[in-house]
Amino acid sequence: MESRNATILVVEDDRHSATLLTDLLTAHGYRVLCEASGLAAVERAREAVVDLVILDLRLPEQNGFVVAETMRRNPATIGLPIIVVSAYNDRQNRLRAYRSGVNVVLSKPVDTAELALIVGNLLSLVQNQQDRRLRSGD
Amino acid sequence: MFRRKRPRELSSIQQLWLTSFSLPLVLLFILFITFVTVIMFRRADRNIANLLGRAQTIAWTEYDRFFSRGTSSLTLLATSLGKGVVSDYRALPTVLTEYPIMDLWFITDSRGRVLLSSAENQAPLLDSLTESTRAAWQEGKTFNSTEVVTLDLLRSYNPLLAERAVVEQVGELSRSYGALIQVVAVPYRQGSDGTSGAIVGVHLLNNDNSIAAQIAAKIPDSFSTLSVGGIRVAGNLSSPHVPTYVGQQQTPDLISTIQQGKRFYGRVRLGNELDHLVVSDPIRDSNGRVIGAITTGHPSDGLASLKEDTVVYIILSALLCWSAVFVVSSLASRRWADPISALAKLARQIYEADDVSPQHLTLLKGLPPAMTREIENLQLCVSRMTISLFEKNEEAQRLVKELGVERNELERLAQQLQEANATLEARVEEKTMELRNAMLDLVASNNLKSKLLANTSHELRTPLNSIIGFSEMLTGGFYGELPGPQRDRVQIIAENARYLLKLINDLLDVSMVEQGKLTLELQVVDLTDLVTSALQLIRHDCDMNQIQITTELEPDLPAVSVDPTRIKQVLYNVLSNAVKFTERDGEITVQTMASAGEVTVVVRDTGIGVNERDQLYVFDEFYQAENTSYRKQAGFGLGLPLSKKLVELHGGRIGLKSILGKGTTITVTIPIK
Repeated sequence: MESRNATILVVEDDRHSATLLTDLLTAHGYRVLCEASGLAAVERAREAVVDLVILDLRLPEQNGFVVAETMRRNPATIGLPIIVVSAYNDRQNRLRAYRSGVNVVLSKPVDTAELALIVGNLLSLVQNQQDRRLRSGD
Repeated sequence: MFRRKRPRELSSIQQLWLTSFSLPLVLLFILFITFVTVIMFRRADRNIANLLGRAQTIAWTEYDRFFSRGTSSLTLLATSLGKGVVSDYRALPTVLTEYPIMDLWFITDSRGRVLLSSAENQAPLLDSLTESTRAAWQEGKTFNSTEVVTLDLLRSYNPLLAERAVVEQVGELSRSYGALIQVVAVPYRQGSDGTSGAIVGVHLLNNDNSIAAQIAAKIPDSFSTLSVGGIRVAGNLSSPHVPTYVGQQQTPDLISTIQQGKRFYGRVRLGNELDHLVVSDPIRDSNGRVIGAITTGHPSDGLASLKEDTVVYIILSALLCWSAVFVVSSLASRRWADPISALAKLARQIYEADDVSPQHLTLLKGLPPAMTREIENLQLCVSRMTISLFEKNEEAQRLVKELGVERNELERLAQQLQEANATLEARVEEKTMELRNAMLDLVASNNLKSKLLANTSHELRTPLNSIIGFSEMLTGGFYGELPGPQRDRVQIIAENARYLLKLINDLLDVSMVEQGKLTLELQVVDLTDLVTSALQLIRHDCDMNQIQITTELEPDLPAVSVDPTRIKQVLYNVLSNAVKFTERDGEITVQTMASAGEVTVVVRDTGIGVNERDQLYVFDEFYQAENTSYRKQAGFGLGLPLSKKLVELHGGRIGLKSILGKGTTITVTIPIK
């Protein structure tokens, strides 16, 4: 699978931020799905084919930590790269996020160039792992 | 109140006078009298000794009288025979018998044989007499001696004479005392037929009181005795209870002294009553043997009674003297003590009374007259003192009355004061409660402020996310290339948004430090690395403004234990401040150095500087400098205050020196832990 065609789930309750991320990722050639609540995001990740999740921590219904933990418990989403982009970027919250299974924590306002590079790297890492598994499976 | 019954341990003047003066005086008096009396007795004893000496001389004279009279009588007879006045010795007895002192006589021939004798039996002459006779005849001179013969021998001569020699009262003591006889032998030569021999006269001294009579006649009260072998054979020694001491033994010390052939002088006690002073001389026979003693004495009974009397007189006169002194000194000391006692009584009345009354003043006039100047002084002083006390007492009573009035007033005032105080206390309590509540509110609101600050800064990030993100995407050409001027303006939006973001971050940090929520994550690091990486962050801006950066970094900087993120933040703040206020083509110098226990980073710029007044406040949060040039540069922001807090959190310090228009130097010092 080409990385350009990867699907990224953006979980963000702030409409403008969601638009920013959608614009950015679309511009980099990714397919973007948006969800404004935690519960919906978990549901969406389980149903649709998603390659990476960008998660806000402060969310309605379920906060980002819970979303990440739920995803890590579900076999369908267990290997999904999760990037947190949040205004709550103090150390305590960062550590809690990593313990919940998050791969990268970025703070708001996010550096768009940095985010794009991290997304690309994580996706190619996952891609390489899948390729290796396919080869060994054959 | 006062113990009036005090033990009488203190002496009064009277006692003091008696003990310290009169008693020693009396003792001295007694001593003196005794001394004089003893001297007098010594003298009296010496007089008695003289008297006895005389008596003894008289006694000896009287004793010798027989020898002299006997010698002269017998010599007369011998001469008569020689001249033929008396025809024959046979005619002599009639003459001899007329001599009453001759108790016994013998006429012997030249060989000592008795021719004629007054003895009843024609007994031979005793040996010692024979010797005497022979000596008298042969040497042709008279011979005197004293001898002792036994009573039996004497009896053989003449029983009557022997009876005379018996001393009464000897009793069972002894009959061996013998008879003391005086012998006179005179040689004769008969004229007619030439017959020669000796006429021997014997005088018995036993019971012969003629010596004693002579002594008694010349010295009244004196006595004299003759003794043989310690037993008195003649004399007039007697006492009121014992008619005579003849026939009794003499005292042992007298006997022993006489036996040694010495004169005895001393005191002799007869029985239990009589004391005598006695002189006794030994009597020797023709062989020089001590056979008896002649003794004279004077009763010292009178002396003894005199001595007892004297003691009585002394004691009596001492007592008299003492009582006289006692009476006189009692009277005298009472006269001295009375005024003092009167004063003491007055003083006691005053202190026992509640206050000094006029009655006490009248008592002052009744004081006894003073005997001495001192007492007069004392009386005067006590009088003045009493009067003064009286006056002061009057004054005090007046004052007490006034005070009573004032006290009532004061009590009323105190009452009012107490009420006012109670009201005040209630109000203070009320105000304290209000203050406490206000303070609690303040604490709560301060906490609220910090919380609000934290929340707000988070809330502000979200819109900034969109602003910065979209600005970047717009300038990055995500929505197509923008024309030059638009692109520049979007750039300005992005810059301001980033500055705003930094302000928000600093605000959050300050708030956390103030709440004490900021914890340092200490690591041992090389400060040079932090300085270098902080310099990397500003290099771009410096290049843009053509600001030259010079570094003077100490190569062997000691490692420090710090939170690298926070120190890097501090260094970045300081450096970016320097860049901000440095004009184009300016210079920034960064220097590191190590001193005792400390590491210092100095950042010096050639910027616009800070005026002296503002230097005091640059580390205060929210301080807005008035200098217009700061406003142009958007002020200090929160960078320096936050840096100060972070450095102080590390135990270090931060300082600023500046000359307006010349530049600023900021010094960051961190201790090596």
